[in-house]
Amino acid sequence: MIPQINSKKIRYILMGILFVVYFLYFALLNRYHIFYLEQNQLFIWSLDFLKEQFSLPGGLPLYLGSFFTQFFISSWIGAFIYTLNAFAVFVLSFYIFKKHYFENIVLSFVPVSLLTILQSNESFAFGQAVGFLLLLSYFALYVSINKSRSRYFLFFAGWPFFFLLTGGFSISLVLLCVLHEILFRKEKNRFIITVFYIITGILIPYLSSQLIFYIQPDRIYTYPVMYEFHSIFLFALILLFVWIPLVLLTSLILDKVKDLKNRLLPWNITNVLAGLVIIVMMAFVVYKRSYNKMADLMLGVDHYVQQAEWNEVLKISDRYPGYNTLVIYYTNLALYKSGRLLDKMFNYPQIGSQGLRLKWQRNLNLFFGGEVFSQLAYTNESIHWAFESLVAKGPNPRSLKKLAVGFTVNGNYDIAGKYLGLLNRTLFYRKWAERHIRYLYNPDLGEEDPEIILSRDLLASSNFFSEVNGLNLQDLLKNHPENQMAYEYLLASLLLDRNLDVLVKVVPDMKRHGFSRMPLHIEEALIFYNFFENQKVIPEGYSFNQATINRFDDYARLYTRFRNDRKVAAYELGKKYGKTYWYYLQFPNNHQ
Amino acid sequence: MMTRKRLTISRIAKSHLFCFIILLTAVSCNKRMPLSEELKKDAVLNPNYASVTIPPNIAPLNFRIIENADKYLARFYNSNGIDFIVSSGDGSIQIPEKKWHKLLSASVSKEFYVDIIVKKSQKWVKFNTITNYVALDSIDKYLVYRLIDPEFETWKIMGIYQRNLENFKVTPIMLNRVSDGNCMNCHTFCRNSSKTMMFHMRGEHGGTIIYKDGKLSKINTKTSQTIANGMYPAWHPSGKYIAFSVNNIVQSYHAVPGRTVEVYDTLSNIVLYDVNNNVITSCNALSDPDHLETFPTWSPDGRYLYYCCAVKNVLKKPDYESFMDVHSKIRYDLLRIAFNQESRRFGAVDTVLTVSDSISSISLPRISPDGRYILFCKSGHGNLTIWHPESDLYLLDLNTGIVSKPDINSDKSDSFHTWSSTGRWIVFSSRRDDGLLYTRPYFAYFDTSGQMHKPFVLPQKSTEHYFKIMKSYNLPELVTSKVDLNPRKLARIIKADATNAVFQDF
Repeated sequence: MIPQINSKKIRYILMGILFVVYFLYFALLNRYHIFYLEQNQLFIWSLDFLKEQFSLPGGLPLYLGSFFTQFFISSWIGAFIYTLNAFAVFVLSFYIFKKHYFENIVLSFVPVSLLTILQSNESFAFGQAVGFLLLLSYFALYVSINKSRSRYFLFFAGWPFFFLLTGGFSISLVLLCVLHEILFRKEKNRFIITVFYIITGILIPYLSSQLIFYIQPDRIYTYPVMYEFHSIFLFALILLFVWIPLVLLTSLILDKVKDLKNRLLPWNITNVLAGLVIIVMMAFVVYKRSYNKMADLMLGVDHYVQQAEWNEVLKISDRYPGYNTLVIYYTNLALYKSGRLLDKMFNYPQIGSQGLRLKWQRNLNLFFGGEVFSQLAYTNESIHWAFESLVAKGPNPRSLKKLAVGFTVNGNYDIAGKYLGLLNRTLFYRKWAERHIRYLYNPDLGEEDPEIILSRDLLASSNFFSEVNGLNLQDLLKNHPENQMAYEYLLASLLLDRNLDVLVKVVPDMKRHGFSRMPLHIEEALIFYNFFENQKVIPEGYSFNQATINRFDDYARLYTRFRNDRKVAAYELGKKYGKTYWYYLQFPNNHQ
Repeated sequence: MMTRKRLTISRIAKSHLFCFIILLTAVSCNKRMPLSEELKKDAVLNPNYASVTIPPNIAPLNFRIIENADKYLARFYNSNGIDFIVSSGDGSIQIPEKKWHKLLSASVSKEFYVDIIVKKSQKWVKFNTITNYVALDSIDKYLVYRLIDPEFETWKIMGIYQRNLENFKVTPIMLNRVSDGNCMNCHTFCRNSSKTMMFHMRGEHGGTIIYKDGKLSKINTKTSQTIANGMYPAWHPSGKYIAFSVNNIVQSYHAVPGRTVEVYDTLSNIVLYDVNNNVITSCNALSDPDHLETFPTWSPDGRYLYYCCAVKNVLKKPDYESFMDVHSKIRYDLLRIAFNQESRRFGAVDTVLTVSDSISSISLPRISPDGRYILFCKSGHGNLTIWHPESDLYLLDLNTGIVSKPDINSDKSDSFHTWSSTGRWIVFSSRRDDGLLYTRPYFAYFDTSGQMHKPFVLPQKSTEHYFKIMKSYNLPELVTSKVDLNPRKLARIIKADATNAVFQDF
């Protein structure tokens, strides 16, 4: 005899633990995903925004999704919203299964696990989860009605509107209602009614595509459900939509085999333990297959760059394993902003001067890549990248802020006002927008803003075309020799490109740029250059540190010792001198 | 008892309705303006609809009064006794359509007036009376334009729309949401007719969509003998041919404020597409390897093809310090070549207007329907003048050879333009409002004496429209009637395979 246990108590404790774990998973392990989602959209309090969202079927989940996503400005609130949504999905699933004689926590937790997998992907917008919740809500309402006429009325009168509001999310509702009627109701006319359900489900979207919406015919039954996923994410998405029909069918089969059902469902220790094992396995799958730590770290670097918390950027860079173009690009920026670029840059992975900027590509690079130009006070190029990103992604706070600042700096106040007008109708960017709107009416006020004053001071007056793969550092310096970042980036790019012949011509300007001592990597480069070229290049007013000279002597000694076997040399020198410029220079494939 | 009660309720409802109508009339249409003090200054309106000449069939010119005040009144009246007042609490003057059209009908070839008074600190003050003129000539009923993000390189959402100029109704002709989001451009009509149209699709479903005689076709205009797909088009007045430029286009980005992108051609020729026979041809003069030929346009009689032409070899000269210098030396003159539409043959080339020697460049020539005038853009260099703040519209009188600069230009980019079917109106793209990025369609009256009148921007229902909209109005084209196409009709042909055009030597 297997002992029975107090099901309610266990149920509540189990649920409590599961949702606390769920909350912590997003709040701690996916916090930067949450920040990133917020940066990707903009909820605007305006009728125009509302109209735009509803210009295609499925506007409601997108609108609500965008509304809630604006609160992702705090990862804790974001995780809480995720958890609330997941809890609602769980409760509704449980209710639906219960209505179909299948009361089971584990089965109800499966959609939550699937959502967890999907929400671990930064491309899965919260509106998608809202769409699924709306689908469950409508079906729960439907199955709660016992009176068949009322149910039919709810479908025939309500579903067309539900389709207009939720689009593709409503399509599987037709299947669910059909299954419910055929398998779990006994009305004589249920077969005829369900035929009409199916006809309605096909006809209404088709008619709406012919009469109301301009949409591709092949997308009318799916939009706005995102299915451009692959691997486990696509599998999770498909399973999310077929899970409930699958459970309904299973329930019916089990109902036929009463004995099996009696064995599977009671709350005894065996079943609870089995359920726990299943849930732990699901959690394991989520963690192993869908949690992307690297992506979260990468998005974390981006987050701290936006917050100008440069030390935090470097802390994450320290933890980031391997090469990532975005991380390298942001790390170099953080090193410059914290005054350590020319002393520490070879403590981190480097990929040549292309690690100082992102490639121009019509992908996420547009979103991230403009930062270096605004930091360089290369305003037109910052505007260019922000504009392309705005077009590619749609309104998002980052691009709009960059554009507003850029056009304010350039004196195009009408255009800046347009972007600030949008930000002024948001919850969390209003204050920022109000402050910048004041600059438009009183440009002198802008002089109090360090970002604007720096960019105004460094505005280009002599024209040049932007380089496809470069940063136009020489052009920026021709316009403003005092551009500190352009100068340090120029030195860095010459180091990264191993272009010491030009470097020695540029280093004399260090005095003008306020270097009180020679930065370590410059020192290393010049010592190496003098040694190899038999020169004595020492910029006026500077001297080499004896410790650096001693280290180079030791490096050279070791190099000579292992010179016949490059692999061994790389290994031995890497242990001691892996973070020097000498090592970067001589072992390009082994650095970091 | 019940009946009496019902009657009483009905009476109360009626009396309330009556009072409401009286009140509404009093607020909106009272002919009496409050006593006010003359300010003796002009009101600032956005858009600026003061002292403009407008067609008798244009939609209400709604505007916002840029003045801090508690209440705003605008009185519209003419000498024929039409008189009504529009009130506003926020300065936005929304003119009732019926009253507006009645005012215009009664003011044809005459002036009408707008008095603006505002209430500030419990005192009404009046601005100078605005006088507008209603021309005799109507404007073509529809404006077709593309709404795009001011194009750099990326695009996402775009559409070609038609706007009924007599009201505010906008309907889409094509939306890229029905074609997997690809790019589309260069919509063009034959002699302002909505029955003969073409536009290009780029990207996945690439091809040129031609709408003629109620039929749609999709053509691939790239052949092994031409350098690219057809680009800037011009319908021959017969509707049998389309002249296309074929270009290799490059974009570069400026660094100084006030300039954004530079678009220029490294290769450029002109080809002729025979619509009925699906044949592409050209001639030596139009595909000269040492020259860049672009922006074709036909004379209304179809006997000449006008085009812009620049010497290409400046691109090869090594004596320029940088590419920056090189591109600014590409300057186009206006040429024309004779054409025999029966034999489909080109003849001799004439130079119509040379400006390259005066550090200028011509682009987008458009000939008036009577064949007498050419309206063109002039800028310092290059050809895509929408990105040149110095670009202005100029008028060449082909009878006298005199070039004039009509008083419709601004200090910002004034560019792409088309004539109405009557030749009495032009529409052009201007960046005068924000100075740099977002183009707006402006209309100007061209009277019988060859004078242009002060232009006005396309009126919108909401006075906030141009502030809020994040798109540019691109390629405004006037057409006489509604284009009988919509995205659903076009969706099928868009995804069909394009028919390859065949190249035939001249």
